[in-house]
Amino acid sequence: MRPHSRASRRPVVAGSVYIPDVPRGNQGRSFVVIPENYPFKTYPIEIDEISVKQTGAKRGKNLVALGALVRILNIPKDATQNLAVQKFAKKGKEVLDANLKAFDSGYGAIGADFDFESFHLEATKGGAPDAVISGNQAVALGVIAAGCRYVAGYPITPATSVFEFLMEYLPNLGGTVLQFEDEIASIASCLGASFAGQKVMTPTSGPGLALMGELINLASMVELPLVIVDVQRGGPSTGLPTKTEQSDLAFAVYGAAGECPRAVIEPTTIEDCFYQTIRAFNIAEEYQMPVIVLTDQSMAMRTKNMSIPDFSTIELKERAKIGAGEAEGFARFADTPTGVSKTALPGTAGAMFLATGLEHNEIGAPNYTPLMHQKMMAKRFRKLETLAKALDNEVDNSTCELPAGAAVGIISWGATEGPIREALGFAKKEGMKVAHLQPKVLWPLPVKMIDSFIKPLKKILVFEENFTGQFATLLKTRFDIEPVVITKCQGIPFTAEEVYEAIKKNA
Amino acid sequence: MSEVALKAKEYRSDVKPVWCVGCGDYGELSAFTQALSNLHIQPEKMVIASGIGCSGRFSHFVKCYAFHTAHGRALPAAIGVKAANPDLTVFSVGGDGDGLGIGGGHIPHAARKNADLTYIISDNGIYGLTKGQSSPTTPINRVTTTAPFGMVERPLDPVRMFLAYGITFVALGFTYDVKGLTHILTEAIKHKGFSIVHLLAPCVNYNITTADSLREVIAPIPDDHDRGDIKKAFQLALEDTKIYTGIFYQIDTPTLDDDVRELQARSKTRKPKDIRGIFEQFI
Ligand SMILES: Cc1ncc(C[n+]2csc(CCOP(=O)(O)OP(=O)(O)O)c2C)c(N)n1
Ligand code: SF4
Ligand SMILES: [Mg+2]
Repeated sequence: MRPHSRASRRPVVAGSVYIPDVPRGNQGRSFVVIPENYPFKTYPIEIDEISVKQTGAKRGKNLVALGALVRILNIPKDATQNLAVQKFAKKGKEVLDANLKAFDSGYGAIGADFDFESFHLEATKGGAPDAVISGNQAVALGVIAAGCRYVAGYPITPATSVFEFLMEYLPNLGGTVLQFEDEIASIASCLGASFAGQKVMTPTSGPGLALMGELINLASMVELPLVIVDVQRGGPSTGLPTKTEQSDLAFAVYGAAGECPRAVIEPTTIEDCFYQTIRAFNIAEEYQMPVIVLTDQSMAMRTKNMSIPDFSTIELKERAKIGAGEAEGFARFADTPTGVSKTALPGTAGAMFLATGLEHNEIGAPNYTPLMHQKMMAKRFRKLETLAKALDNEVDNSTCELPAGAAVGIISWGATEGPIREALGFAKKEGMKVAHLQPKVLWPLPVKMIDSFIKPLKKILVFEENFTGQFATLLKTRFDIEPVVITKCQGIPFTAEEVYEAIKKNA
Repeated sequence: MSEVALKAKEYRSDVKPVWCVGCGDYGELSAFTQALSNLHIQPEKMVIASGIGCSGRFSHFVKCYAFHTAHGRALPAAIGVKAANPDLTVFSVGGDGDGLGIGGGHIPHAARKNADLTYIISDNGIYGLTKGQSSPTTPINRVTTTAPFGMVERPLDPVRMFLAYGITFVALGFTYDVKGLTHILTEAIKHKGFSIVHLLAPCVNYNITTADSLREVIAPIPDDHDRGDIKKAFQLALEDTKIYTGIFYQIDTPTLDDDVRELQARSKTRKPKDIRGIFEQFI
C-alpha cells in the first residue's frame, strides 16, 4: 500500500475530520495511511462505489462528494440541487437524474453519528448578494473600475483569464483590447496608448515580465503611467506554468537596464485584487510611472465571494496635465519639489514635446552632460520618495496586528495572508501572542509601517513561496533585522498547518 | 487638416539634425515635411514614434508630439497611439536594423492589424549609429565591422516581404529623389490603413552603396501600373535588373479602428454596459 503523500505528511489541526474515499475491493480501507497519533477522526465514505451504483460510472464521484459536503456544512440542499439541475439539464434527463441520485446518496452517506456542530456554516444574513469571483476576475474588474480602456497582451498561464475577461467585457464599455504578437509589442503599444492619454495595462506572468524589462525602463524614463499585472507562476524559465510561486519580486522591484523608479503592489486576498488594481492605476497616473501588480496563481484561480463595491466611494486619479495658458514655455519634465511634472496630451496646441528614452533635460531634449544626468535621475527618483511619504500618511487596509506583549511577529506578502491568518487563529487558541504585518505596497517599502511594527519585536518571521527569500532580502536592505526566513518552493501555497508548525518552532 | 497651411520648414523643431553631412536621412526629412505641408497636417495632431538608430532620431527634428521609443519597438508603440486616439495622424520611423532586425517580428502582425498609420523605414544597409555593423539588408560580400571577411548571409528583400505580409500600402522611395518621395509620402499619409514606405537612404559613412550607384539601377514604377493588382506588384518587386521606386500596391480594407468599433458593436447585445452590471453577472 502506497501512502498518499499529502495526508501522511501534513500536520493536521485537532478537531479535523478526514473523509477518505474507500475504493472497492480494498476491504473497507482507504489508500491513505493515517498515523496512529493523529488528532483527527476519519469518516470514510465509499464514494466510488456509490457513484457506480447510482450513475453507472465513476464520473458521478464529484456529485457524491458534493452531497456529503452539503450535509456536513449545512448548506441548503435545495439551492445546491438547483445548481446541479442548471448544470446538467442541458445534457438530458438521463444524465441529470443520475447526477441528482449521486448527489442525494452522497448527502445520505453522512449519518446522524457525524459530529456536525463544528462544521455548520452560517447562512449570510440578507443584504445584497455577493459576487463569486476569482482573483483574476477581481483584477480584471479592478482594471475596468479604474477607468482603463486600453489593454494589450499576449496569452500566458496563469494570467490569460485576466486578458480573456477584458476581451469579453471591455469593448461594450468603449474599450480596446488587443492581442499582440508578444509581450514586448504588448507593452510597447500600451506605452503608445498611454502617451496618447489612455489608462493602460498589460497582463502577464514571469516570462512575459522578463521580456518587458526594456520597455519598463522606457516607461520610467519618459514618465508614462502604465500598469502591469504579473500573475506569478513557478519559475525559472517555463518552470511550473500552472503552479504558484512568489518569485518575481526582485525583478519587479529592480529588473531594468540602469535604475528606474516604479511601484510594486501585491494584493493579499481575492477581494484585494480588485482594490489594489485600482490603486495601481491611481499611483501610475499620479506619479507617472510604471506600477507592477504582483498576484499569483493560487490567488488567480481560486474563487471567493465578495460584496459588490460601493462604486461611488472609489476614487480615481488622473495624471496632471497643463491647463489653459500653460503651453507657453511648457517644460514636460520640469524638475519640481515632488518630482512630478505636468504633461500634455497629443492634440493640445502649442505644447508639443519630445519624450525620449535618452537622458534629457527638462523640456525633453537629449542631454547627457554629467550634471544633467544626476539631476534628472534625482527628479525621477524623487517621485518615489513623494509616493513613499504619501503612503506613510495613507490609511491602507494592510493587515497589521501587534498584540501587546508579542515578541514574535510575521511579515509576509501577497496571498500567504490566508494561511498565515488561519495559523494565527490556531496560535491564539493555544495562547500564543504573535504579531502580523502583510503590507500591500512592497515598493517603495512602507518604511513607517514596517518600522513601528518591528520595533517592539524580538524575532521576525518571513514566509515566502520562493526559494531565496526575496522579500526578506529586500527588508534587510532597509531595516536592521535578521529575520527567520521560511520559504516553500513547491509550486503549492503554504498550508495553515505548515505556518502554524513554524510559528510553534520559533515562538 | 487645418485651414492655414504651414510651410515645410515650419514643421521643423528647434533641434538641429545630428546626421552626417550627406546622410540620406536629410532627404527623408525634406520630403516628409513637404508632404505634411501639402496635406495641412496640424503639428499638435501628429505623433511620430521612432526607433533607435541614426534614423530613429528623426522624431527629434519634427514639430509634433514625438516619442523616441526603444530599439525595434516604434511600430507597436505607434499602433498603441493610433488605437488610443484615432484622430491623430501617426507615424513610425526607424532604420533597417531597427525595423527588419530587432523589430522585424512586428511588421507582419502590424499588417494584420492594419492600423491607419505610416511606417517609414530608412534603409542604409548598415547599423549606422553603432558605427558600421552588418544589418539585415547589408549586401552580400560587403565588408562591415561584424563581417570583416565579407558578408555571407543573404540580405532580405523588404518589398517582397511587405507584399507577402498583405500590407495595404507598399512603396519604395529614394531619399535623394525628394520630389518623388514627397509624392509617395503624401499618398501614404492619405492612405486609410497601414502604409509602409521603404527608403533607400545611403549612409555616407559606413556603407559604400552610394547614391550614384543606386541611381544606375533605380527606375520609376511605370505610370500605367495598377496598384490594386498584387500579382503585378510582385512582378515589379521580382525584377532583378532594376529597383523600382514608387507605389507598388494599395488596397482598401477595414482598419484597426474599424475593427475595434465593429467589436464594440458586436458586444452590445451580449454584455453589460457598466462595471456594476459586470459584477452582477457573477452573483
Ligand atoms: C536592445 C538594444 N540592442 C542594441 C542596441 C544598440 N543599437 C542602437 S542603434 C542600433 C542599430 C541601428 O541600426 P539601424 O536601425 O539600421 O539604424 P541606422 O543607425 O542605420 O539609421 C543598435 C544595434 C540598442 N540600443 N538596444
Ligand atoms: S552614420 Fe550614416 S546613417 Fe548615420 S548619420 Fe551618418 S551618414 Fe547618416
Ligand atoms: Mg541602418
